[in-house]
Amino acid sequence: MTNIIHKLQNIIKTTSTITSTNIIFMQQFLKQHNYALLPDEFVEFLHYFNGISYNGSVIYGIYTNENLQDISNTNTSIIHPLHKDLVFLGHNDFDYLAYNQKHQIYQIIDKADFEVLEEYQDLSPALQHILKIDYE
Amino acid sequence: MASRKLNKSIKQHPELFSDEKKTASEKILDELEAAKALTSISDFTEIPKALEEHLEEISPEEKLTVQQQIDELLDRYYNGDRNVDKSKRYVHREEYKRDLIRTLKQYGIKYIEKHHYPLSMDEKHVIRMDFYGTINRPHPTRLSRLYKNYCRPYPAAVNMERTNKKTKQADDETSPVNNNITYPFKSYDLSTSPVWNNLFRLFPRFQKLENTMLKTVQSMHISPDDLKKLTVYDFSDILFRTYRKNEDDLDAHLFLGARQAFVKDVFKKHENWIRAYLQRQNIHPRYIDELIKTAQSKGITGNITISSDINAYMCQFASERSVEFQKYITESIRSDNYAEEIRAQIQNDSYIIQGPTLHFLQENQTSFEKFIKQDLMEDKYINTILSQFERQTPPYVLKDVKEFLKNNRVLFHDFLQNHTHADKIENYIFKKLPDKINPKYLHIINDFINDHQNEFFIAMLENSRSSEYANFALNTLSPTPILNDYAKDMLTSFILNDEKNFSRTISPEILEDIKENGLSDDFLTDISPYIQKNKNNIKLFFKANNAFTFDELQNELIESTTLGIQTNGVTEEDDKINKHFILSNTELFKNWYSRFHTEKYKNKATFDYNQIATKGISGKNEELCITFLKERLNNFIEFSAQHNVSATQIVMALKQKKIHHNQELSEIAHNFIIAYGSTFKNFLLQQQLQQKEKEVEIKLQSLKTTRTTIQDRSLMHKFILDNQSLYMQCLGQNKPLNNQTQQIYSRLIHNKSTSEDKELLKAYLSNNIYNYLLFQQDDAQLQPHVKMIADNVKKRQIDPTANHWLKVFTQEHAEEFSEFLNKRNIFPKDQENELLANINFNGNKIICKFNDGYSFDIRLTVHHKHAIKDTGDKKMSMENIAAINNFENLCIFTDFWHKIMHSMDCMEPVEDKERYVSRLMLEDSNTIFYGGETPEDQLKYDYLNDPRSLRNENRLKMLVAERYGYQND
Repeated sequence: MTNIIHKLQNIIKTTSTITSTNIIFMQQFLKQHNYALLPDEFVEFLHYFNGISYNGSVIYGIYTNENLQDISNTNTSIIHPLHKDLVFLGHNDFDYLAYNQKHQIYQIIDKADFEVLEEYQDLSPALQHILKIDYE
Repeated sequence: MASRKLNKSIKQHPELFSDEKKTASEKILDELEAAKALTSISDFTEIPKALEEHLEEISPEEKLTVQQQIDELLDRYYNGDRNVDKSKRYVHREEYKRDLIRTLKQYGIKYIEKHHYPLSMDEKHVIRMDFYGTINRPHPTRLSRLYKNYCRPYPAAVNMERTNKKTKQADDETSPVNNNITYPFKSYDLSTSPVWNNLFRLFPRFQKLENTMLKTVQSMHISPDDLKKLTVYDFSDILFRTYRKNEDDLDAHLFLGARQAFVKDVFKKHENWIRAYLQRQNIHPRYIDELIKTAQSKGITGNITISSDINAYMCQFASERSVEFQKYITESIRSDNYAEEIRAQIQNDSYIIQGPTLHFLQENQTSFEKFIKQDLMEDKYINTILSQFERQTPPYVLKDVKEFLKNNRVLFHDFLQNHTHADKIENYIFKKLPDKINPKYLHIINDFINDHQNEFFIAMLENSRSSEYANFALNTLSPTPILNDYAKDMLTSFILNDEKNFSRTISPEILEDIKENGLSDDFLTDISPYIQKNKNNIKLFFKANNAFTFDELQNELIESTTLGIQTNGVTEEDDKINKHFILSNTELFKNWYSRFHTEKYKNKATFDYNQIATKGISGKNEELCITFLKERLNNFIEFSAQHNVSATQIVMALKQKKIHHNQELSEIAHNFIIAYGSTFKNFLLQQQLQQKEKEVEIKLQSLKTTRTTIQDRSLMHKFILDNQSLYMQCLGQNKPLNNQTQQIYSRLIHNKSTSEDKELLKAYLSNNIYNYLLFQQDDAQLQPHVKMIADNVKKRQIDPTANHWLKVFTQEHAEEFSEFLNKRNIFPKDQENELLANINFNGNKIICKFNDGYSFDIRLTVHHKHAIKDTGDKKMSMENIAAINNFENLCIFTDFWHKIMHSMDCMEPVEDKERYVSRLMLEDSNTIFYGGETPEDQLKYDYLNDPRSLRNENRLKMLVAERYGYQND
């Protein structure tokens, strides 16, 4: 986790202004909407980067601005049959990055037919996959 | 890693997916929520018996298993088999898929794998607008450069993806051009726009908006030529600008969308079926009622608000905590803040008269009535004083004046010779009298009467037989205000307080004099205009500075009223008390009335007697004489015996009433009358007075029932003037005022008070705030009072007091109350947090609103059964893309099944469009409500043969043929 954060800090020069209250509200929102909750590792990540837009890929953050790709509005816009087990955390051109609470695993899911393309136990490789960092 | 299934062409069109994301937020709009609540199985009253038996066979556990089974199959399909090794997890995906398809088929859902009609983004966008009936504010990046020249940008919105300078510069370039040419409305023709004509016009709902939208186009100064070039999103933006309510709105409502229209129709046509279905799902009956009502009226099944008067629950809540409730009331009343609270409550416009107040009123009835009386008397007193400055000659005096002038016409005529246009003035005066007359002519009359005071006084005396009235009549013609010392002092204080205004209208010398010596009688006429102008302020000043006690005020009022009676006469305002005075002294009035006429009829009696004495008894007066003789028969017989007339003869003649035919008898009678001359005169007078007594009875009767006339008023005035001391006594008792006071009190006690009554009560309580507080805090009062409230609450007898305390108590214990409601399963369990936020205390009612939209277990959503231009089903004849939103293509699903319906969607891009390559569909295309896997929970209706659909189909066929030229596949 530390490695990828350092790597991202070199590439993206932004600082997160997220607060614990923001995160609590977001978790409440997800609970109310019957979605999976944000995993602890991703919450930690949010403290470093409240959303990333890089190389055509997006990691969602918690924003008050309606035009930004917020965790709440992206999750409400995706209709997945198993959404109660999932929380979508980001996307690239073809895939979503989601956390499957039921199986406690990060998944790379095909945008077109929701087929699971890859699974990761940790957030770092999942982020690397969706942000295409290894491809550079 | 699982093998990537998508072909490469998809990845060449990433914008499709990003676009899907941007527009996907609209998708959420079709999620219609419903609530799961609690009803027992015994409530299933509307289900047919056979169905009921069948239902009993399916236990809830089994029902759950179907959903669990599909969930598991789905999980295995998407997440692989978790029981096997990671590397082999997705190997048998095709097998899992087949299992899923097979299972879904059992429940009437089939899997179709074929290439559907490819749909462009523009088409998708218009379909969505037609479906939802609303439009989101289009993103500026979607608008064409041409269109941007005509429109002002929306308030700056930060876009995460637009951070580089280049994009910003590009945005700056699109600032609107200064084009102020207004084109004629007729120059716009939407047929020339390919986008509008070939796409929007396919949808009847958009067609209706054309004229309204074109007005916006005109106001934006868009040239008719450029109208042809506008894109779908440009038109969307115009529609958004036309229909948004506020500048900063993010969406606008266009019309009743297909989704809402469909929901309305289904709920109206199949209310009983839906009700029974929801009951089977254990939905709370109150929620069912509200859901059906909202769906039928608005076409929506989400955001349901259950408004309810939950007094019963509040009563139960408080009764269960009776000791706490009573303690709360006691402590609240004894708290230090209570005085302020009470004061604030009293000042509040929506102040409710509660139990303690009424109790306090009952305890202090005398004091309260005295307070009201004092208030009313203050009003009356100040009005009496001010009326001195508005003196007018009463009409009944003018009537007397007219009579006098008529009787002295020659004198008056001579008097007028000094004036020019004498004849004209004379005519005017006689024509107008006794009605309102121009003051300048009244002045002439006054001068004349002053010149002939004695004559006028004698005439008035003759007419009214009262020197008091004669004096009054003389005085009233030259009205000068007459005030007592207190009134003068009060006016002096007011004038000195209002120096600036006073000096503006009245000369400064007068002000100086008033400052030095107080207000003297000499200036009363001079200040009259000022007083009349400041009437209201004087009233307020007097009320605020009144130093009189109740008794003093009463005495002053009596004096000033009497003064008014002496100087102003009686007016309409005094009718009530004057009538009361007469009616409570009827015997006196009758007596006075007779006496009043005695002088007049004395003369008449003498005249009549003289007539008989000189001319003898005639046919005219025979009856009167016979009555006189009959009354004194013995005397007359004795008198007649002296003239040898027998008693029998006399009795017979009197019986037959024939005296004047018998000359002898007539002479004897005549002599008898002369012999008893004074007695006869008195007899004549009494006869007249008897007649008047009958008249007075009628008069009294009419006073009770009919409106007072000018003549009545004149009579009243004369009666009062002759009985002033009695009248003052009557004023002291002031019965009408007492009645009025009692009525106010009674209205307040019986909760029928008017706003004026309420204001009086508020003033009284404010004046006696500490007494009021002490009364409430007194143990002897407080304990029984609190107990009474608690008992009333227990019996559910909610009076305003109980309601007040219930409301405050529940509000104070909102959290506990919320728990209480939840424990009773009135609302779903996961509402706890929402419930707290949604308990609103509105007036006397507590309204619970449930509009969070997330927490109900059942969610109803509308699903498109077939994808666009799906030719798989021959029954489904799609003439054009607008038919996607036809009722025959829509179906209401519960949340679970709607997700299942989309669970195997697969799309692929085709050039700049995208199409379904696989999709789940219903076996029976007539299903319009899919509530569960059992046939009982699925409602079917053939919308293809519905008259509305047939009409729609015909219209579309015509439109396609005329304008679109679209050909069927």
